[in-house]
Amino acid sequence: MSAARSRAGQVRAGGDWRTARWVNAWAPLGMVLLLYVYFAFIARAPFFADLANLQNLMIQVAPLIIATCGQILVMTVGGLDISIGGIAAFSSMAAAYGAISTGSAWGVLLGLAVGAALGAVNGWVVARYRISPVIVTIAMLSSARGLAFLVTDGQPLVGIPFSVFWLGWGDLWGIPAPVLLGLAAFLLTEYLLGYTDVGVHLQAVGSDEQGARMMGVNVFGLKVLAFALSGLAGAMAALVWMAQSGGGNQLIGSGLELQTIAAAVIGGASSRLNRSALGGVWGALVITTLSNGMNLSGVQPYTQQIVLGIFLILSLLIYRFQDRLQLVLRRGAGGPSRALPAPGTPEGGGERGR
Amino acid sequence: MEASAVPGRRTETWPWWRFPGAGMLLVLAIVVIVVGVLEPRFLTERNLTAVLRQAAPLAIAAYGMGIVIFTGSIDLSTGAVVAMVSMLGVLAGQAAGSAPVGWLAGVLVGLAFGIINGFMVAYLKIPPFIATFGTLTYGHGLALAVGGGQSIEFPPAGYNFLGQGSLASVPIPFVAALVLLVLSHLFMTRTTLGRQILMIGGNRRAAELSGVDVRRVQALAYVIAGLLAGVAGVILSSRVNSGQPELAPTLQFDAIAAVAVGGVSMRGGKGTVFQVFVGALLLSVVKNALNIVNVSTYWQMVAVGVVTVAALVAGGEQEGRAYGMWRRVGRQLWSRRRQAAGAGAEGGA
Repeated sequence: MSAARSRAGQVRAGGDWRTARWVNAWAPLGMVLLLYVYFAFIARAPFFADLANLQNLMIQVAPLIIATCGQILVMTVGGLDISIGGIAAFSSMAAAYGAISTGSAWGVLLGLAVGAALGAVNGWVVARYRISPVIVTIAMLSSARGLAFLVTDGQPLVGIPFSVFWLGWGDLWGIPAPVLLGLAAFLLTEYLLGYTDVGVHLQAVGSDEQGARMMGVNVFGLKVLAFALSGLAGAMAALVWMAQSGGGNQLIGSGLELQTIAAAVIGGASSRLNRSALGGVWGALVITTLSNGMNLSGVQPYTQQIVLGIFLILSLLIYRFQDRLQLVLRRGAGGPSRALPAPGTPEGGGERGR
Repeated sequence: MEASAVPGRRTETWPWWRFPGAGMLLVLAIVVIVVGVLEPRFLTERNLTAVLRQAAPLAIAAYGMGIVIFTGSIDLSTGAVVAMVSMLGVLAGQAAGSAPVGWLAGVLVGLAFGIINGFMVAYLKIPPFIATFGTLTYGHGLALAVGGGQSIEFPPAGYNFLGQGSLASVPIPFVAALVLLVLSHLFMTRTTLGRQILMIGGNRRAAELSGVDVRRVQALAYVIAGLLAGVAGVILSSRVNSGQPELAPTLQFDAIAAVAVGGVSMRGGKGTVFQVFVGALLLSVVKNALNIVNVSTYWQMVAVGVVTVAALVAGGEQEGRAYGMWRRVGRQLWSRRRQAAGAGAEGGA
């Protein structure tokens, strides 16, 4: 815990930075609220403001939050996981197979194991052979979805035990199970990133791999860990969808890579120093509110795609300028006494994403 | 010092068979022979022209992808760009009532997307991955929106010539791929811009310090990629003789796989367009061979992924290593044999 604690002290030392980070972390919530107000009161989408729809929204957003947590972990070590949708598809098949063959709900753990294993393969190839994570995970996306189709020759795997449906439709003390799972995934990621040494080390690998290695951080293991957790998150999200749709399905998680990356980026998590998974939650909420609201207003699905693509690029642009803005604010806007570091140089916040 | 083993050094003489892409060409030849022996239906004229016809749009799109990858970036928008190209190309052709106008409009649409991508990546400094992923999303949405989710049928007469025509039994798309191969190879090796593209991929900071306008070169690489994606889209759309919003939704992944299989470094700064061409050809031949021996499409999806990563691992994608796995192993064996024969030490590495 030592590294985590010493960093906490640093945070307290720089008060303005703490405020800035607090604003950063919670600003995307404003976007969610604006969207909600827009659809509820301005566009007046039918049924949007109903309490039932709010609950529906929460259930819809939960698997996306789970998957986004995995994506954020991979982004923290400086990678991107494009295979998360393919892994979700294959692990839904594995989970359905496990549940059917054991006849109990615990069989779905096979899906989680498969997801984590495929993620670990990603991480192993990326860390051992130092190939660009984008390429490796693109290859894994194709392979995993191919495998998902292959195991049943393109048929969905139905007939899972009734108890599995709890994951998608059940509730505990009135809280829907998907929401509980999403909350658990968020809290675990938040704890891992913000309060443990592993989280600090993950950020170290992401921001300066060579430096982290010099400090004795196990770069290889942490990369494998991050990718494996991402696979696990994809599998977890797949479990919820599987329980909701009633069986293993190869089309589960199609487009998930885009949604998770968009959610992480909209939430401001694209920079490698992710100290929190909160942004991912807001990003997932923004995306789900957007699609839910547009669905209820009768907007065509392809128009939704256009809006999502533009939203993704715009939010990145905003965060770029926000970086600059913070630098200007910190230096008191004191004219051109010191030039702002050019984006892309190691100082400044320029190194983002890939 | 006679021929030391540092590839790419102009002053040294090389045996004619040591050129980038030679190894993959050998693999291609072996695959063709093996499949030809195992499956007589493969080496028929009808099947081979079909392979060339299929390989051509992939190869053309992969040239563009290769040029972007030479700069060390990536372009994930190709699949949406070709869909948009086919929709608007057919629409423009219908409006003007002539096929060439449709083709030209299609290429221009590709160019426009290239300009958008280049502007976002080079001037707005959005990470290439996210920017082109965004283009993929809204481009796909736009392509669906143009036709209201439907495909656009009935292009002007002769629109299908580019995709379905033949020139003395060689398919026109493949002729186009060969012409573009020569053009883009000359562009990469004989023009300042081409050399600068490799330069910013190799070391962006050094390129900047030696006076290269990095942003301009980066943007132009995307513009060229967009142009080539436009040509690929026109050929694909002309082959199906309609505008399809779902024309080739995963073309970008296949193009990246082709570039990787060709042995081009994903880090940028190294590679030739010829390697990309061989990679695209090899990928198409393997897919066709799998089709002929009735391997399911699902296995093919797995195979593409595994082959891509295997090619990168074998091609020496690891940092700080000048050669791939095979060449390292080969060099070790070679030097040992020479030492055993007392012929002196191996060349510098």
